[in-house]
Amino acid sequence: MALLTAAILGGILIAVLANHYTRAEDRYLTASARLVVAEPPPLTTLRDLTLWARAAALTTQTRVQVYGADGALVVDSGSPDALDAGSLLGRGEGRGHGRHDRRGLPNPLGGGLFGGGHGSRSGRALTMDMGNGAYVRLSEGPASGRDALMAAVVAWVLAAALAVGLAALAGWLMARRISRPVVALTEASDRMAAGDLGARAPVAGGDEVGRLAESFNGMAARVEATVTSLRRFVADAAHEIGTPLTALQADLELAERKVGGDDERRLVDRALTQTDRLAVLSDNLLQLSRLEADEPAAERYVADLASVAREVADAVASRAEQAGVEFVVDVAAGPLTVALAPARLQTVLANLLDNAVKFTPEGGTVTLGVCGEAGRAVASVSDTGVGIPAEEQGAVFERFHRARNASAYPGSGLGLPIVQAVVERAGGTVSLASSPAGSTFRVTLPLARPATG
Amino acid sequence: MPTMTDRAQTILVVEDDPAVGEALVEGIGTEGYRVHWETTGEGGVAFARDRSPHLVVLDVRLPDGNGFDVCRRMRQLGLRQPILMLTVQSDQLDKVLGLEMGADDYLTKPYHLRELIARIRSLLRRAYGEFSSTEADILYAGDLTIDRTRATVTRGGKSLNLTPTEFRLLVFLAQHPGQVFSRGQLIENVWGSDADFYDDKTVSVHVRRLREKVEHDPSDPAVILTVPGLGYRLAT
Repeated sequence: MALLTAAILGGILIAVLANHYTRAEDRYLTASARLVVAEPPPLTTLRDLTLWARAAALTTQTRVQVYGADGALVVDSGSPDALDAGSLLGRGEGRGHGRHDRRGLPNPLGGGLFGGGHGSRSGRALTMDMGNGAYVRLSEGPASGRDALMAAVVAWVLAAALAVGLAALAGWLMARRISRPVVALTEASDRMAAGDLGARAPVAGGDEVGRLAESFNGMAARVEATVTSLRRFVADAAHEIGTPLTALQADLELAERKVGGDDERRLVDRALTQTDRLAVLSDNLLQLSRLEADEPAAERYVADLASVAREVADAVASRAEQAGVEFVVDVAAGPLTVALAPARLQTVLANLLDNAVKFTPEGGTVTLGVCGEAGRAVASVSDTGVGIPAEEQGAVFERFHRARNASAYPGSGLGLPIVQAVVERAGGTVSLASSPAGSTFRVTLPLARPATG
Repeated sequence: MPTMTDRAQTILVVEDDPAVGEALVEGIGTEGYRVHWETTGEGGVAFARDRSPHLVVLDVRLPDGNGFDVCRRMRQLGLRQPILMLTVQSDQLDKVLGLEMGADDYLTKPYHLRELIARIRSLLRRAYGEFSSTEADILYAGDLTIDRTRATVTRGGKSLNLTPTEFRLLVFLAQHPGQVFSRGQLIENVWGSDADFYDDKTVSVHVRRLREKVEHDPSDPAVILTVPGLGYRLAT
């Protein structure tokens, strides 16, 4: 915009100057013509007339031509550049002398402005009546400011081009200076949103963007400290509960052996059931907090879904049989390598199968299916159990959420959240389809390269 | 089952928590083992070096360092006895680290006393090769003791009441720990001459009833295990 304005202003200025110089040249020619006319030529020989014209041309620094009344050219002084005092002394047609020299000289800037130098010549011409029918024509006067003007135009164009270039460079540098920290800040905030709590923006300079980055970093540090201490607290708490719980369990087991009556035994068994429940709860809390403390991409392990599924199936089979539930295992040969620690993959399948067996009444069926499907490993666990009410299907992955029709069954309310946390951290998905006739949980995981070492 | 004889095996327990330590000493002691309890890694290493126990139960968190280091030092001293690590976390890392440092098995806190005892027995059986013969009079299955001559099954000194078929089934499985048997094989070996009258369902029904008597938690069997599509095996 500024450039456009400058261009327009420059154009106007040049036009004004050009007009001014044209008029100056015209005035010069007019004044010179008056001078020439005021001193009429001696009407003698053509030679005298020629000398007069040359003298006039030298004096006025114009080309002086005299035309007869009939309009025919009578005398021509020739270009004033070709004239010198010698030519007035009758050395005749020596105009060729020095022409090349003079033409070869560089035209000094503004030389014509002072009329003394042999600068470039004006393109203007003026004709003036000499009063006796003949008339004189003056042309090729000094170009007055035209050289300066041309030089100014050239200089202006160069300056404008340079200015445009400089402005573009400055703009690019500015944009880079401003946008780089903004881009870095955006990246840091994206990484933070993706769970990398250690993400920080580089602080460049004390400008607004630098201050924004500083305040972002301050906020990020607080969030990280809070989340870390919360997670550590949960992990420590779960950890610390483990030791007294072990002692309590062991003592209850010892008591169970010693008590005599059935009533007492029932009380001890009930207490043991509750310590088991506490143990599962604290273990699940520990698992969850550890999952969350992990860097998202920190999973360095791989496991074969097919072989882990067979292991877990072995572990669940006894329970299913004892519950009177038919357990169908349909696991592809594999290997189906996924980027998960085997223990975590076990947890995923065990939690899903535990739920399936738990919520399936005697005589029902639980099916574990594992296969590869379009570049992904898929595990599905189906049951013919009580199903999950439609309005609660979205909430089953929430912590401590237990479906209304699940209250009669034991559980920590953390099994499915753990499944989801593990699966999603490995870039997979877990979905649920449920009706009163049963539920199917489907886990898909991206296939990974098998371990090489 | 304090029928252990003069050759009672010594078990070293390294555990700093007094409540857990006391319970372990009492619980393992009632199984007929001699138990020695140390509260520090230093004490544990010294006892292991001087007295050479048959097995070491080692807590991973100790006041003077962690159990992994203690485990490694015991191995460096040339001790070849089984070491059972008690880890506090159900973490892959602890398991891997423990096994790398020379532990033979691990158990995650909080664990059941009966599970600990079953592991101890299993490790001792593996290390000292006892009771592997099918002709042995005394058989072990988890924390159960089976006396073939007296036809009794006991746990922690308490007798379990099994029918003759259940007893034969348990004995057959206990004679081949870890080996998988199809229902047909079990009918042949347990029911014998009457085999023609029975089918797979019979086996399932008997296994289910047997579990209700021998399992601590029949809904989560740990002694007699189902192998999907194949049959049954005894936990090792």
